[in-house]
Amino acid sequence: MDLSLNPEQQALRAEVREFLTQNTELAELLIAERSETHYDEELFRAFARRGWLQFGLPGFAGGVLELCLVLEEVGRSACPGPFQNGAVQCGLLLGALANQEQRGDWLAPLLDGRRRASLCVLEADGQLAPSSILLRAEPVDGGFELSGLKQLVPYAGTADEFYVVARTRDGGPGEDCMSLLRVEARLEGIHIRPQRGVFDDGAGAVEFCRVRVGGEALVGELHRVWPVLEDQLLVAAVALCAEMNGGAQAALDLAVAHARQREQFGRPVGAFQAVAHRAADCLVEVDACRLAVAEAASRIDAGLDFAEAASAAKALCAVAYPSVTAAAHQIHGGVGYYEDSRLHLYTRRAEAMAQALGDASHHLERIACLWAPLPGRIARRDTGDSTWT
Amino acid sequence: MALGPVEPANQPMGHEPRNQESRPVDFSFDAEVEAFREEVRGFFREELSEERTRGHFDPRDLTGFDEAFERAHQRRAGERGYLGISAPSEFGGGGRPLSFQAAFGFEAAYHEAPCVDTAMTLVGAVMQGFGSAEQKVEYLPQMIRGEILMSIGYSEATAGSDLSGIAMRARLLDDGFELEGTKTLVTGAHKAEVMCLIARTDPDVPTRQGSSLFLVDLSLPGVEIERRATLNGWTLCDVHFRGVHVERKALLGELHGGWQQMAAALTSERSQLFHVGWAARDVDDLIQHCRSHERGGRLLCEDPFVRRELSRLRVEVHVALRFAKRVIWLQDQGRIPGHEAATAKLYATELLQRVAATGSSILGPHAALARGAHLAPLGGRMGWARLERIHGTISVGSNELQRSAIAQMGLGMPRNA
Repeated sequence: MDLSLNPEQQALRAEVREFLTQNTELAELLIAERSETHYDEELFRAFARRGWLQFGLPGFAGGVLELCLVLEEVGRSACPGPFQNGAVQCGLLLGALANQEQRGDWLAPLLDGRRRASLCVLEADGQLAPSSILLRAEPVDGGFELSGLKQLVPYAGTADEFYVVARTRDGGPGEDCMSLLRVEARLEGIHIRPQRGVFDDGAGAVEFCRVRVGGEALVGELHRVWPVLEDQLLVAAVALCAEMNGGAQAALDLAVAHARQREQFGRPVGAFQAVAHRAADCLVEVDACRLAVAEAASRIDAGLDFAEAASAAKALCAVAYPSVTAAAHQIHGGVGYYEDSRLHLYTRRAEAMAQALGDASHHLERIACLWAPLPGRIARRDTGDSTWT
Repeated sequence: MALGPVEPANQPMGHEPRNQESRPVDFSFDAEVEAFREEVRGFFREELSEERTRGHFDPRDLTGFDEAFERAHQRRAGERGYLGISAPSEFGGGGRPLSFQAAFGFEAAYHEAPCVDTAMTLVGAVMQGFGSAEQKVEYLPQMIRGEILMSIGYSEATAGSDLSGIAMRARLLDDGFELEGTKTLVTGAHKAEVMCLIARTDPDVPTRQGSSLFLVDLSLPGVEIERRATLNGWTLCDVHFRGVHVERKALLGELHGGWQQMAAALTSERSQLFHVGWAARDVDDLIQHCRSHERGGRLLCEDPFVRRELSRLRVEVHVALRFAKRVIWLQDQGRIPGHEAATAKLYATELLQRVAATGSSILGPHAALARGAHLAPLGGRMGWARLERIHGTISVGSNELQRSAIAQMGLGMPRNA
């Protein structure tokens, strides 16, 4: 057992933190979020060029743990940008599915910020399940024709290309009917409508009206990408959790700083047990999440089974982040409700991120499938009843 | 769960091992601890088998077993070197890191063995830290071999979370001390040979500067032990000391130095992994039950409420486990845990309450049946647990104290008024 970070990891964290601290004043972040692109593209490219989004991918140095350290700092700084969906999620899928040529052409430019991508998965019911994927891609002339509507696609308006999960044949709920296609964003037949969220990550609904792509657009095996997608998005969920933890920790730090200096009734409000104990509960939650993420990431990096650890991390973080920001507001009192406090940066992100890649219920059900597979549902792995190491 | 069979036998998914040359964050116990745990599991399975325990149940005792069984069981654990696994070897201990002791505590709790409160877990730290050479020679080997039962006398009617309220006196005499007062909420005094207690040796200064620790033979004249029933059937003790004369050698550590010694001893093994052992057992049993029992024509484990709530508990047991492991990891390096220890205690004891509450609501009305009642699910374990888990959040530093400690040590909040 060893819970320490090695010197390289500590240095990496310090470096990322310094970079972001210099570029993420509240005013700058709000300008970026409200701009046409919804993030500072220059800043994101400079970040990506440092190689910080390549961790955890096959063929690159470092593991998911390093990726988590980087993203925790992103979360702490509340820097907007296509870190998760655009870089990490597309990157993991290309890393797992793309052939040699595709990797060279598509993955590298994505990870160093030269090209902007968005992953299109969710549709009308917002569920991360094959039965919820209705967008069709029909085989036509050695290529495909896509028709359907993807929703909640982050940074849809600025993407150069979409990676689209599409139904390529009929049959049942469709675990073995799904394919991944790369679609240039400026093709004819693509229509984007903004779906502005409480945190504006440039999300949009992307409509595909008989959009034609060639056979080379196919990433991974025809009809059979769903299991890989599920696994990779579980890795991505751990990365997302890391960003959430950075945000939760930052919100708690703000609350503690406030409670220590703000005086009421003749003493710092943090000297009241009602306040101190609520803050203590926040630290317990944040610690629980950070340890859960560290364990999930280290299991992924070690090649161990990580399904339960990863779902546990997301189930915890999806509850903890909004709960910590809520407590931070209560501790702040009125001043935390103004836009000129940083607190809302975290409060708004918490709402979006709690839902992304599966909420707590989704992941608890996935864990239930490990200890009690439902009849009719394919049990991908059964961990038995005692799954601790 | 069960800190469980070492590694699930299934295939890793999707990912090639990376970072193998150095694995900087690793939550698994070392292979030696795992091997020890495996051995201990075998021991407990045999010890707690039906033929061994038959006729030895005693609901009036916290352990659930009668004294004869407890003593024989602890002796056998002692013979194998388990009770002093992390104690220094000069007194017969195993000299292993604290992770071994913690792992033993987990398994003892998981198997519901009367081996959680032993002389070593209760008094071992203070004895090793402050006992005289003679006291160590006299007591430690017996404690490590499981040949003696001990109890702790800190609380009094006027001293609960705030121990500075202790009123018990130890008057200095030429040839020793005279003890006068009453200790309350004492676990197991009715069967113990010895009590480690704190008393005021200088009533003219504050408690922190004028208290001392004593090792008192409970068979001395003037000691009266009154068993007092708890709401869950077993008994705690009020122990009255009326002009009890003890020799000078009963003093443990320095005269008037008891407060600091008591505080220092609290920095012994602090993971409280045994709480997690109880929680893991409850959740494992609930899962097992729901996989094999039907309601309304389908298995309980197919019910969406059951699936979500049991999965949540499973996640939380793992959280408790990681909190405990973090403490063990710090302590095995010789570091003193701060808010980490408070977090482990707080989380595990509150988790035990959630497990009992959720478990009861999953099992339905029969869950409120008492232990051993006809057709009680899980043998009435959940109803018993609902009542039993009340005291964990109160004893050994109430969770209010733990929250204050977390706020102050972990967050740098001002000290509460």
